[in-house]
Amino acid sequence: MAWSRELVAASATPLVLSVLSQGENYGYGIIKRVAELTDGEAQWTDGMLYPVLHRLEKQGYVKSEWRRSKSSRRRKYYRLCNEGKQELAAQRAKWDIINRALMSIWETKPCLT
Amino acid sequence: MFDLNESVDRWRQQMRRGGRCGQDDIAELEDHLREEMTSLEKLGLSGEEAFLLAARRLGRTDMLTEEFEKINVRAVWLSRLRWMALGVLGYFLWAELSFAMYQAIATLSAYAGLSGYRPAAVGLTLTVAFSVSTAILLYRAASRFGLSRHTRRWIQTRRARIGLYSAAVAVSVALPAGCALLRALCLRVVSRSDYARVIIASSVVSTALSVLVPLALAIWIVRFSFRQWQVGSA
Repeated sequence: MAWSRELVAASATPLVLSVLSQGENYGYGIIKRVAELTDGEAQWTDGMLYPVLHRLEKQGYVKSEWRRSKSSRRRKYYRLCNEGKQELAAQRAKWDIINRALMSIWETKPCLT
Repeated sequence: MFDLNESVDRWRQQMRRGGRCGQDDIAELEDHLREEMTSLEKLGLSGEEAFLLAARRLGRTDMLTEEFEKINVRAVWLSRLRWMALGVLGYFLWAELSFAMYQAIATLSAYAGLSGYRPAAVGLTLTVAFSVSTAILLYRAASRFGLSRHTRRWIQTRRARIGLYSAAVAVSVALPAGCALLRALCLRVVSRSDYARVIIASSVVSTALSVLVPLALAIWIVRFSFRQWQVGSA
């Protein structure tokens, strides 16, 4: 199932912020976590995550740091800042509204009388 | 035979094209690429298969660099400005050097007994032929080899920078001095009226060039952006 660019762009921010709220992570780890959470159904182009991460960093929501991985490769780790936590809460409120609206429509049984 | 490092190098080169991604951006993506390959190889894929699939999952390099450009706007334009400045400087240097070469050839041919418009004609022909062939050679070398990683790293060292600056200062002192000397020599060997012809011929050519070069550049830029636009809308 192909996802539109707009949907990926809109959902990437809350997903990434949520994954990082569970602890620091690096790009590949975040992608794997999102794939796990969506049972592999969220078809992101892997590389597109990085511009999203860099944008979040520019906005001050996440901080990054280069460190050595276990395989001694240079790796960039991201963690959530306080501003990011606030943004996540704000995003969550909005997504909750959309989610509730869609759920209540989809769960309405057709009226037969 | 599949060579992993060569393939990754080629991929890195594609990401570097256009200067839209920084070194760190590419290093971060490469870490992702290698990590994905490791996990694919554990599933039983060969090195080549793992590379192809991992690169495909990462996304097309032109689309990735396009996304990165949106974030690195400042850095991308700074690097473009640097190249433009380098181009303008290079043009001036080339103009000065080719004029010096032209005068030297004209002087030599006058010394060899040519007179009238002939020294100017010989000088112009040889200088134009030399410039065109050097330009073609340089272009070919640049598009085939580019700057190697070694050269890139070398340019960034302090010693290289000091060397380049002192070379620039040396050239900017030596070049005018050399040109003045050449002109004096030229005036001594070539008769006044023939020297006037040398100057007239060079001013005709340089005026023509100052129209033709910007025109060619404008056409190239328009065609290039049109092709970009076609790729974008396809």
